[in-house]
Amino acid sequence: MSLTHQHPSDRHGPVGEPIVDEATGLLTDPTTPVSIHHETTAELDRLWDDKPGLWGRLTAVQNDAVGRRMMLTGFFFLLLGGSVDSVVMRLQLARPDSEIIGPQLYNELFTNHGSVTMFLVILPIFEGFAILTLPMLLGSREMPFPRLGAFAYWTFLMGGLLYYSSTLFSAVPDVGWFAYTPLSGPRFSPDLNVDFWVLGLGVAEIGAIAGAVEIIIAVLKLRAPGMSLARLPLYAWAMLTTAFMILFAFTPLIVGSLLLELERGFGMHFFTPEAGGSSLLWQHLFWIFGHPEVYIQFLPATGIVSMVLPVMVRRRIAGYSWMVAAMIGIGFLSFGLWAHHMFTVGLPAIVLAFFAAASMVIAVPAGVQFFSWIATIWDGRVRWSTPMLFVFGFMVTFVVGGITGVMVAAVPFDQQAHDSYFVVGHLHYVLIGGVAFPIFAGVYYWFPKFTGRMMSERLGRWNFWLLFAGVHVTFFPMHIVGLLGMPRRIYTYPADAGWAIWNLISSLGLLLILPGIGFFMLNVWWSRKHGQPAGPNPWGADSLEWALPSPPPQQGWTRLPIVRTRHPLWDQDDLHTGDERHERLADALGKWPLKWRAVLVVGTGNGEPEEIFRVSDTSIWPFVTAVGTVVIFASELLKLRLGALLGAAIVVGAVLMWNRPSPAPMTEAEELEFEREHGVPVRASGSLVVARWGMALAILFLSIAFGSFVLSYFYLRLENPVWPPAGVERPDIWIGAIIVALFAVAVAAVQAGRRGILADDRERLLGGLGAGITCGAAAVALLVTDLVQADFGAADHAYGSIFHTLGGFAIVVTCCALVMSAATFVYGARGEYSAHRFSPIDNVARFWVATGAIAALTIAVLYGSPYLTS
Amino acid sequence: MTEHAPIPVDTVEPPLEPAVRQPGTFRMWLLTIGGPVIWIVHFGAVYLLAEAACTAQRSARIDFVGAETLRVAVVALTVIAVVGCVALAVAARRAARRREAAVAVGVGVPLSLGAAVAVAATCLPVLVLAPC
Repeated sequence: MSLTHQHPSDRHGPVGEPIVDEATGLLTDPTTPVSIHHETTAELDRLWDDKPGLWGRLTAVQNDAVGRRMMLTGFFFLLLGGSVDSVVMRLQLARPDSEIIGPQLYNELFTNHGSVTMFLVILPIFEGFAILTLPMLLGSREMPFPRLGAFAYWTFLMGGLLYYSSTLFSAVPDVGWFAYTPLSGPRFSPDLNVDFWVLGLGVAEIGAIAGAVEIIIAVLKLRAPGMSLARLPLYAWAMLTTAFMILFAFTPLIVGSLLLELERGFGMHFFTPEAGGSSLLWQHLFWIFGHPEVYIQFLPATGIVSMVLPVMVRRRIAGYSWMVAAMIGIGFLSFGLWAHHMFTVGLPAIVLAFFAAASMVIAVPAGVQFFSWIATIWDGRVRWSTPMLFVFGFMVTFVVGGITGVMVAAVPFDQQAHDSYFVVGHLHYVLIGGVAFPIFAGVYYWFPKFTGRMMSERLGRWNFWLLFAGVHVTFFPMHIVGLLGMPRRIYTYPADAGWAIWNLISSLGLLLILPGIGFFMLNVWWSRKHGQPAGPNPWGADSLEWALPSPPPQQGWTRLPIVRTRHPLWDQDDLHTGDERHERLADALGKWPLKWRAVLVVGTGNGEPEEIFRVSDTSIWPFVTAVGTVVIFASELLKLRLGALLGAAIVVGAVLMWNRPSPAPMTEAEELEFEREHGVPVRASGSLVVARWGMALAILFLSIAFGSFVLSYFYLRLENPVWPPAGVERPDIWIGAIIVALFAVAVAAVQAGRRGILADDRERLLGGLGAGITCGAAAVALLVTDLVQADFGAADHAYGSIFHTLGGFAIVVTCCALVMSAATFVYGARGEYSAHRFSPIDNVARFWVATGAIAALTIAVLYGSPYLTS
Repeated sequence: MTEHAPIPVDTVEPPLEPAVRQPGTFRMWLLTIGGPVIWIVHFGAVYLLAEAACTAQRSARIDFVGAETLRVAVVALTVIAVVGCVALAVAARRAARRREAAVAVGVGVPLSLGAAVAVAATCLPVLVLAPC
């Protein structure tokens, strides 16, 4: 290792232009290691590629296809919802007493602008970017569940289109991106506007969670040999934290949306005070999602900045551990801030204080990040290329947004500034400074990797300076006009209010922003064909993806890299030497097996090889599943209940087809032979490790949803002095006991079946599964009967609504377990499983444990709590 | 998987990477994110307690938890949480000194200490404000 690798500043000119490799004529740093060319590269490239034509596009699962599509779809929705809406709104507000558009259209525009940018733009861009880059960055060949990634994309796209189809029916959502009840309830919004909001975005929320599962497992399990957690690139840490936040934040929103739709479509009462509901319950469920959502967008941006900035100043990041701690700290703290959006609704004083304190504390880890970046810049020599300009823009702009954020965290100030334009200015400084600028930085930085061409620096500088100036001209005056008393969400204002000049300046700022974005689009379009050719590492960067050719082959890594440091391209002389076992394994994977898509799984903490498995290949079923999901939601929109059942049938059928076993390309004997030679188990029929992680995250998702339902139950309980309402009998606790007993037997039987297959006893497996299915079905039948025969209906009052909804949730979860068990029973009877290949059985057994726990707790809440809390 | 040789973790100078012990997965995560987990559990507990007590009081139905009891309960929970965070910080520090993989990145110490500060800061107002 030479010092040159640690401090590559000597290899760049004073203006910081990338260097030209004299041998190839390409822009690249010839002193950093590159991935070696392997004789199997072309064959693996073909094996990994998606099929051509329309069918190929519908069945594509490869991470670069999915990632690119998600990003492009996000930018497409940005142009629709981010740009057009904001131009019209600023035109309307440029002058007082303006009548360019009326109040109804203005309501629709600001609702659309907020909803689209928060749900359909930044999230798919970041998730797509992660799906596109993480395998290369982590030294892996693929994401863990390519079909789930494809499903995530289709649901994003179809959810967005379903949402936007509201324009065809003149039913554009008009209740704000937060859809507060009772405004969004059936009484004040009887038309379909809110249904489009709930159901269209609901589909996209499912996509967000599916993408998050992909990202979590990719970062924790699919890495290069030797890449321990301590060597994880900061971008991967940021995406790992973000993905967990998506799981914990979006699930309560899905539950809240379900409750809102049940109120709107089925006459239930969760948010109607006259029937025992609470409109504040919606605000809690929404902001438990809504505030972390800001950090869900901010953290990936900090990950990008933490990758770009050290390369542009040619120094390692200062305080890596502190940076990781800050990311994780922000992830946790962001879940303790939601009620600071509710400071004016009358919460108890002490509760306000808790949330105000937490809202201020989060400035500490954010500050740690900034000091880390500043220290890194301080220690290096800045190369003012376009990515660095956007990093600079991010730092300046976000600091302003962060400081005004601490201001509104103070309860007295917030109660003055609440719902004023001060908050609009604050949130745009946060979201444009903290999120949009890093996205631009990332595009300029990684563009050469995926296209093989540099973006134009000249166009990039126009892009940056116009955007930077435009953002400040547009959004800074909003703080002033907000402090002068201008409220948000008004379509016009009187001339004598004293707000006209500030609004005019804000609107003029758009004249800078729009050409700024135009230069960006021009740059992307021009550079794809005419940009300067780039080699593997035009920036002289330190992370693994820059060792691959630009653009990389479909599989990324033919021979996996061996990671020995946190900055492999700066610290290692080559990427293919290291621990002898790692070398032999990487070599074997480069040559073998070529007949299927082999991916390496490593230990979570230490990065040691743990398993090789066959990652799934192209399939139409993710697309069909997404179509089924949309059919359910669209049918509910049109109140076609049979259509919803049809959609559910499509989803169940498609998921079964998606997961059906395919013939393993290796025999068990061949797998064992490889394991003996290399010390790593091979699972050509599907992973055990990754499947367990997938199931664990699915159970986590269900647990969060269940927790949201239970909290809603007890929130409503607190709001109602009499529970159950007068005249309603308390549930029969003995029926509840019988249901729990049946679930216990079902869980025990399935566990016995699992132990049977581990002993290669297929009879015991089938017996256990059969008994589990029988007892589980009996438990569901009893629960359904009790719900149907209850002396109150789901639409009678809040108690009836939450009772039936929570019970229904347990029934749906159990039905999932029954379907999974039935499928594995059939496959088990066909001899698909053995003591060596038992992953699906393992997962079914775990799911039954979770089902049993959820059912038992549901029964305890529904049947037991009225006795304890009356 | 067969037996492993000790795996080096990252240091500033790769040639000087030390041999380290591998902690169990649960222990690794406990020492890394245990502090923030305590923070969020504590935050949820004191918020729900305050919300329940104040909602019940507001409705003038039941004195679910009296004002003074609420204050004492919040302080007690806070002391327990701070002690837990500090204990985890100490354990993480020791693990870092022993250079256990992953924990050695030093993430656990600042996270646990930060969580202790956040727990204390969150609940300071209960000493001066009327609970409801």
